[in-house]
Amino acid sequence: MKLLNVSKMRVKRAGEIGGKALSYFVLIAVAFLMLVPFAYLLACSFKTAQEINLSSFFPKQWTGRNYVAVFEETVMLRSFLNTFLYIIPPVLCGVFMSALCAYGFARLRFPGSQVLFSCMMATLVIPNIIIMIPSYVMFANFYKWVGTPLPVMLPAMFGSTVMMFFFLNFLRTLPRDYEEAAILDGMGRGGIFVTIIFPLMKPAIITQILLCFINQYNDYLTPLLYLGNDEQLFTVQLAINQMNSAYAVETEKLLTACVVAMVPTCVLFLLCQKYLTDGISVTGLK
Amino acid sequence: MNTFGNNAVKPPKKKMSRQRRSDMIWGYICVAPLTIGLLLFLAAPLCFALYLSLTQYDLFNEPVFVGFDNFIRAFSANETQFWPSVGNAFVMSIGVLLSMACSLVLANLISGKRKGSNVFRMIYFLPTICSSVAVGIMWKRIYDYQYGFINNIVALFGGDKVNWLDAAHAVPSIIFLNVLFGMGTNILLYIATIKNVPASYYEAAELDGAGSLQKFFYITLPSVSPVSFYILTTGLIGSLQGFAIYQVMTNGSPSNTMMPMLIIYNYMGGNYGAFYGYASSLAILLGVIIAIVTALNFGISKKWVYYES
Repeated sequence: MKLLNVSKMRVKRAGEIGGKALSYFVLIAVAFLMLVPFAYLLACSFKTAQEINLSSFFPKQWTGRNYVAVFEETVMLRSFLNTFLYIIPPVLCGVFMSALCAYGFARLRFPGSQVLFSCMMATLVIPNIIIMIPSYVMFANFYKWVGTPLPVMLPAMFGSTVMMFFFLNFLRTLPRDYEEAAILDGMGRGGIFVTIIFPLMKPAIITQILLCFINQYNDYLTPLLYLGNDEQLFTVQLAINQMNSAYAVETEKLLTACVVAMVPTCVLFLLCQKYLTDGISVTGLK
Repeated sequence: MNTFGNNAVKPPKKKMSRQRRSDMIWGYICVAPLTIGLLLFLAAPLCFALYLSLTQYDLFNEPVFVGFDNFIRAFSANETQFWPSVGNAFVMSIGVLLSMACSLVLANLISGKRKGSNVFRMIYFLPTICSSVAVGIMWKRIYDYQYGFINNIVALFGGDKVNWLDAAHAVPSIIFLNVLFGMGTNILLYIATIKNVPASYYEAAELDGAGSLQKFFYITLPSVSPVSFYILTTGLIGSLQGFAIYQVMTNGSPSNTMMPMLIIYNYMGGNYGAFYGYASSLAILLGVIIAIVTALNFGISKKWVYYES
């Protein structure tokens, strides 16, 4: 009887180990599937023009020429500068405005706040696609801003409802003690926000800055619509798309440009992994 | 939902306290920027969209009011592309379901692990932060008929090369890449939720002799159903408005990869000419379809989403 039990336990234990091995196998297989495309892209970026169409995975002769060429022969460098110029001010300003708005809703009493908040949440339901065309017409004909970076930058400066909601939820978890003490000391609300609340919200702020940066860096449709055909205004996404749709595609340079275009977001992700994964667990990306 | 300061108690008529008054003013100052932004760049275009859809407009001449002609044209036999493209978008949305299922399985596997869970999370999330344009170009090369990575392997094993982006293969090819590269966020959301399921549930189930499959189906699955619902809803909304990947990879040929967004984009001074009024009416139709799908989602969710409490 005892023997039987032991063998039963052994079977169970073997099953557990087998299950564990299987689950690791699945996890590793999927990870492999995801990484191979990137490895392939990276390997291709070191191939010469003669080798690019050969079937070997790794280049026989490694060359860094493509990277030099991408920066020297195309608008890539310029487009990097453009992209950062277009998105850093709106990201910082938008995050600040969203946090400010969340503070207003979370801590201040004023008539109409409930109604305003409900209206804002209702806007989340509107699909982007409906807004796209009239916005384009407005920017093109009323403001005459198409062909300038303004339509890409300006709307994001005012913040967004999703971000505001994220900050609102964060603020609800913060104790009010500091603020109340500050009020007793006669500090104004503006001062309280800048000197007390904003620093307390640091983790949430950093998360949103990162998310916002990545989203805007990767955005393709907005700059495509508004920046026109002037190469000097291109963002990174437009620059690589232009290389892709060129009449004679230089594959090795195109793929190298893709690697270069992926670098900033990947570096940010590796550096700030914790902030990002925590934030995304709450709000989601895109 | 009375979650923040409300005004149920009206201040006495005579005089508001100074603190109260300053709070009120600061309240308006705080919410003003976002409100103005939404009015200028959301509410105004929204109203304008309705007007625009009732006109004929090419951006240079004055808009001509044509009533419901644009909508009539959209539903007439002349519009041969739009409705099939909506169908294509729904077919592509199978990817959302597949991605949801795969992410749940992977998240479940990861959250059972002590070792390496962080590494897997990182790897699975990597594709999500890369731009659709770069990812599209990368996969276009991988699927390439002559020189692509997959056909290289096929040829290595002596098989016949397959045209992965032709009419017969493009849809599954793109769905595959959408699923594989679209799981990152879902996995993170699932892991976060699975972590919050009380361990006592699983312990109780184990005492009753439940195996890991049973635990998955009877505990994990219902516990994560609110997240599944979120992923499904946002995923469908995103998938029906898919643009960058499709433009970069196939740009609408073969025709079963033609997406509604590509058509609308082409009517905005693109390949189909400058028909902003018509484009706007198509956009509104697509918006209505998305709204219907979302509403259906909410309706059906009552049957399968379990909220605690």
